[in-house]
Amino acid sequence: MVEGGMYVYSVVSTESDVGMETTGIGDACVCVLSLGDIAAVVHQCAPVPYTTENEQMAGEWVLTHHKVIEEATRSFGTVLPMRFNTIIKGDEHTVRQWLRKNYEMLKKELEGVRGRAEFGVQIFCDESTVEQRVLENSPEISVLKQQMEKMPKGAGYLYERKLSQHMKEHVSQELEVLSKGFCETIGEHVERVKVDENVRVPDEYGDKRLVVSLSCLVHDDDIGKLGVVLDEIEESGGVSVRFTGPWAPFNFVHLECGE
Amino acid sequence: MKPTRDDALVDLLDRLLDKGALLTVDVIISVGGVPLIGLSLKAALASM
Repeated sequence: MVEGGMYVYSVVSTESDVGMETTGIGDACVCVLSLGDIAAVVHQCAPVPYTTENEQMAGEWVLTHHKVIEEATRSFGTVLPMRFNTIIKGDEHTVRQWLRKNYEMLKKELEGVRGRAEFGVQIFCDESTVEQRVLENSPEISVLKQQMEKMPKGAGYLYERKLSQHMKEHVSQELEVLSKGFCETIGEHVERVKVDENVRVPDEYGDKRLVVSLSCLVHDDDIGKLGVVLDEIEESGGVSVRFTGPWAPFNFVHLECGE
Repeated sequence: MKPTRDDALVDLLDRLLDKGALLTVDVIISVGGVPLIGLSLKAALASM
């Protein structure tokens, strides 16, 4: 009967049984279990997920998970990163068995990310800049605005509401157009691009509108080129670009493993 | 411009908790964690 668990940080390419000198979550001893030219970076644990109500400890766990993925990337090149709290029920033998059964698929995914990394691109704009663009491009709104300005104080209430509603709709349409444009431009310079849904943004961007948030898989040789494209986007006016990375390819690894 | 990882904890959180390879096998007993963990992790990192 199997009683233990193996916490998996990542799957890597390796030509030999190279070890990793690092500690994992809760100071666990991290080891590399290889099968031919691939390996799983793991630590032995109880067969239950890590849970805590201690926020500091939770934060440390997540940072440690990331640290182990980073160190594996340095040792073995781009890895297949696992989500936090991925635990295989079993022991070393179970992990190797799992690697064997899914070898072809894991190998193919590893080849797909070799020499590449994930980068984040977030484009923000000031609400006022978009409103200005809407005013310039929408005669309907300009007319409403002019009519409202001519009215005596107080009488323009209904117009004001109408104007605000129209403005809201147009701003949202304008953002969609901008987002699509940026997505296409950036997509031409990266290998794969994915639009992030419900993304968190740093506090310093709290007063801006997020136009689009993208995760991009970029070949090592193309990072400079992407930087130039992002400079051009920012110089085109009215937007701020946040360019982050390199990250392990969290958004570009899809494992459909069999038992 | 060059990519940066300063002030990128929010990005880390999005990736580690919501993305990353998801295994669909019987040997996997937990994926993605318990909601309580997710919440407390987010709160912990937001205040760091």
